[in-house]
Amino acid sequence: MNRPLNFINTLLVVLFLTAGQGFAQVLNQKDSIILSAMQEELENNMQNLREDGFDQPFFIGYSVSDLDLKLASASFGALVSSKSTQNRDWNSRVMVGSYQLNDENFTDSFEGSSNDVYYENVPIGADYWGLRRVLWASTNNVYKRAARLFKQKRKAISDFKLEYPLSDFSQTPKYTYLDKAQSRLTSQEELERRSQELSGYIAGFDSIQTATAILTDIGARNYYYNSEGTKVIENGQVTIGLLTISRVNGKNEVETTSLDYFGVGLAAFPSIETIKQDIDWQVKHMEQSSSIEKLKEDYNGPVMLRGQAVADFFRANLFKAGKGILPNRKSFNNKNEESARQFFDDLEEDMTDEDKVKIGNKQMKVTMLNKLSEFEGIQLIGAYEIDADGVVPPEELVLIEGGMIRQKINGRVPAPYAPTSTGSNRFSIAIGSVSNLIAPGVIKVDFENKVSEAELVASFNERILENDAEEGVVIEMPPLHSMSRPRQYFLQQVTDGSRRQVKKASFGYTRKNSLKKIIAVSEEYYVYNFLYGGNQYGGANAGVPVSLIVPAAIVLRDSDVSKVNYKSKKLDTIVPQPGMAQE
Amino acid sequence: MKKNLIQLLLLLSVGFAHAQTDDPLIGIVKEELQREMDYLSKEEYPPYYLAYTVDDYVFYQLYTSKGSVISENRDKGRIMSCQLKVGSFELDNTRDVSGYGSYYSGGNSVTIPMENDAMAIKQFMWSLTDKAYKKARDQYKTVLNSDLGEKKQIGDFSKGEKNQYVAPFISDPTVFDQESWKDFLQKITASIREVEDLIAGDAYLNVANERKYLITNEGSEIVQNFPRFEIYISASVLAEDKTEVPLYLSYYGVEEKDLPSKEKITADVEALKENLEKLKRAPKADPYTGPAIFSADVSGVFFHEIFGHRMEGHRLKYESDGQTFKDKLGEDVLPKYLSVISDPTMEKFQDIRLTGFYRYDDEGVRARKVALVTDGKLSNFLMSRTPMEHFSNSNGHGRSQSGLTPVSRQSNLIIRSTQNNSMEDLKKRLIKLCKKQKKPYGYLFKSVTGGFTNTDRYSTNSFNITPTEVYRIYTDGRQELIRGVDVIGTPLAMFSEISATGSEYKTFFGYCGAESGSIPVTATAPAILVNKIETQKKPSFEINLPLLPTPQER
Repeated sequence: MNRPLNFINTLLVVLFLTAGQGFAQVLNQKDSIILSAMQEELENNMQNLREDGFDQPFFIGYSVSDLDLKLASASFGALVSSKSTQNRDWNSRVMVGSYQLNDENFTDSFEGSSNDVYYENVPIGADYWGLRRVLWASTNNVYKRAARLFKQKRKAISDFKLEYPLSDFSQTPKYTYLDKAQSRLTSQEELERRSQELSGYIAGFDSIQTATAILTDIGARNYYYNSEGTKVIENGQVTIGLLTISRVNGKNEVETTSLDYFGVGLAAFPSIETIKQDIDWQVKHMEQSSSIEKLKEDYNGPVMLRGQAVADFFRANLFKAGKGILPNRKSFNNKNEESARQFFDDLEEDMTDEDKVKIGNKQMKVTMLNKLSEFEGIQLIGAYEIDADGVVPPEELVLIEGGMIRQKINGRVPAPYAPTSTGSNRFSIAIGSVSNLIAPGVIKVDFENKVSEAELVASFNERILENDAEEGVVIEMPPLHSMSRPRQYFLQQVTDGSRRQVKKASFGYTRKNSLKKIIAVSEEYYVYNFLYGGNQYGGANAGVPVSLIVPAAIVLRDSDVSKVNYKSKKLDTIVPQPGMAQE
Repeated sequence: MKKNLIQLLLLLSVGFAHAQTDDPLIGIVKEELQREMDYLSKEEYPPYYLAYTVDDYVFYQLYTSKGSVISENRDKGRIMSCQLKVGSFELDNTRDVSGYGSYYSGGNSVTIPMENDAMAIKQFMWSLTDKAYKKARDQYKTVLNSDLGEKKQIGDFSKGEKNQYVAPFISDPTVFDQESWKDFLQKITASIREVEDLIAGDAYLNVANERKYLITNEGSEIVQNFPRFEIYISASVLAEDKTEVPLYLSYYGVEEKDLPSKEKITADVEALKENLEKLKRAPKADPYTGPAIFSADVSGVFFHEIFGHRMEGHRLKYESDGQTFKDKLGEDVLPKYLSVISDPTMEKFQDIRLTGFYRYDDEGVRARKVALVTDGKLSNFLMSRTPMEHFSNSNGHGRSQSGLTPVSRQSNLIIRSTQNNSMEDLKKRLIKLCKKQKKPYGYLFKSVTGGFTNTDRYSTNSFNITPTEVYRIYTDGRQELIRGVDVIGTPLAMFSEISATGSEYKTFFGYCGAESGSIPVTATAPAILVNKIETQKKPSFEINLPLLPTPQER
């Protein structure tokens, strides 16, 4: 008997069984039912769905998202609203044609309206037939429109004798990703307690007019299945907090500010004590703001950005469709041959004109590192495994090098400098819905020649002196833990580095060639975690978690900071506020 | 001793009752109301009326479709609104100076804390009142600067009553066997799937309570509970001509025990399924004029739309309104055998609880039974605190949805007849009329979803009633189900055509929508025979079912 071989065979069998069982164990009953419904309905449509006179689908993809939401809001320490809801969102994508040419990226200028849509209600829960009915109806609706669009598109290309320079849909390998972890939402009682405690804390300060706290915990379980066989179950969670504070200052003006927080689950959410520290800071700042001088005149000169101001700067300039790292694929229409030809000429130019991709300082390099979960001890919430199309992003991808765009991030619809998917079509969670968004995960901005803090300041001062000035503008954010922070503007002296704060100033982050104006970059880094895109939710955006790793400070040459005039709202209530001294 | 014991027991019971209805929210609102009035009364244009309403609600809603649960929601909260008037009862900020000839102030509301935290609630009240005062003050200034005309103006707001009524707290109606109802409604809607060519098969359960508060500067403190337990079932099929044909069932109750048994509902759904199958194949009717019977259900809707809305007094004040009956007091507007009352004090009709019941209206006026038509003669209108010519006081019909300003609205409309004809008798009379008018058939309208009407002068003062089950009754007595018609007409012409009524009464339950929002109402009436009605075709559009058969059919 060949013991080692038998042993190895036995081991392999055990491993195989374990893997199979592990696979089966990942899917609980609900997951199995939902995926089965998606798979079986999709297969039936791929095999049988076809309307006479039209092509059949070549691709179908279904997304189903189960959302759990818990919300509590409080004002002046009293609970105003507390609710827990569950709902389901879904999407059907049906394409007619081929990967090279299909119904998408096209607008039919002569498309008429149609009552030819039939709907089914989407059930919640593990309802196999209910879910199949919904997908059956929506696939029908989407298919009919796609088939008509494709027919018109193909005709336009033929009639106008156009050459199609860029395919409509990229191919990606089949993939299976089944996340067994389940979101654990905060208890309703805990959300209520925190919102009451925080709003009550705000109300404890003097002259407070508004003291509200809204806490929301949203969990999403996303299911995706497509006709290529890709199967994905993914969890998402975002906990959002929004605090609104308004108070009356010494001049009887009402000042309002907000603090927004998020975390992926409450464990990652700032603690109550941390948030209270932020509240302390905000209220104190509001109390002192009347003593801050205004920016007297418009400024043009070097500007130093620090911390989150640097992150905001790169976010504003990089996360732009077309000119930044986001793709821009427009649709052409069949209105007339001239406009169609012009469209394709423009598209060719976008794909080949190098001047259009020289966007930054020649030392600048931007890399996508979507699998990086930690940097210098700080957790990166933007790291993720797989996108909404079932595409796994690469570990590392250079997007910009030498100041030039090499590759943009993208989903499966090719675009100039984004011919294939980079696994960047991400689930974006909002209140009551889930959508898709092309968004980065972890982005690192780097420069070849970084300098020390002293050298950075020296470079800044040198530029100020070249302008025959004595001071320059420094922009940074206060030491708060909220996602959005107000910009603080300082005039910093060349002579001794002292500075004074000014208000009523505005700096435009996205002026022309902003990225080319960087003249000095610090050697230290700053990490910024935030929610990108998504639906507006007061001041805190639900959306996609993103992490930016940027230099801790940069200096820009010849930049404009304008003075702004805005009038603060005067308190003009007739009856004194309840509990106020003048009562 | 015995007397003392009785007195002691009475005292204890009163005390106990008082403890049960001790409601801290009342004290909080009163305090802030007084504080607001103390300050605002010193203004150049002080308010003369200030009232706060709070709608403290809790609800549970379940929606099922074709055996699936589509949504299940629970929520609770409080909405507060503020009514504030500047000027005087004779002339205030609500005086119409627009030239359009009508006025409706809309609403002014905010969500307030669910807890009885005095300071927190007062913050909201303060902000709400400030907005309400400034709006009313500015409106009043406009009124003062406007040409009010030489015609003698009726006052803008009638004197109110000082009423005190605080209903005890009731147990949360959303605590019931939800799983059992969920299971039942899923089964019911799953069974509807048996109908061929089904489009929709839905059931909706709504369980709620609204604890409504009204506190005014006139000293009224009124708190009432309005619980409800309602089920709506709707189903539709695709007819042979590819149009959708719907049928509905609805059950209204104040509590769960008011609803019919699940066995009864199941039987009703089976009947609905059979009717759907028949309706699918029923011929579509063309526009028609001729005699018709409105069943008791339909008759209630008929009177609600054609008559009831024209009895709502606040509109009759304005020149933009059609004022159909304004100058007809004391005149015959209906056959002498008909009388009409509006009675919000009626809790039940033939053991059925009426959802239009209330003790005090939304302006704090005690609910009253109002005789609108007595033996055919018009005798009254439904009044809120907006006075009109010859009617200077409210009769307890000022109503509104939470957050909106009350206006005069209907409650429980009761149409009584001294006639006593059976349905067979009515059918015989119908046939006689057909022969007289040389019509091959007349109509029987058996059930209806609702209707609507226009009462202003800028559009045709007509009505439209939307029946769902309609039969032709031929002169040989045959009955044929048809589909695709709505009943239309104008009120005065229609009333003059009523020629007989039935003996059996039915109550139609529903929610009426008008300026002051959606409110629960009922209309109880006998069947009526009308000499001549008119129908038009129902709006419809073609529905194409998906290319592939429904998944469950494969």
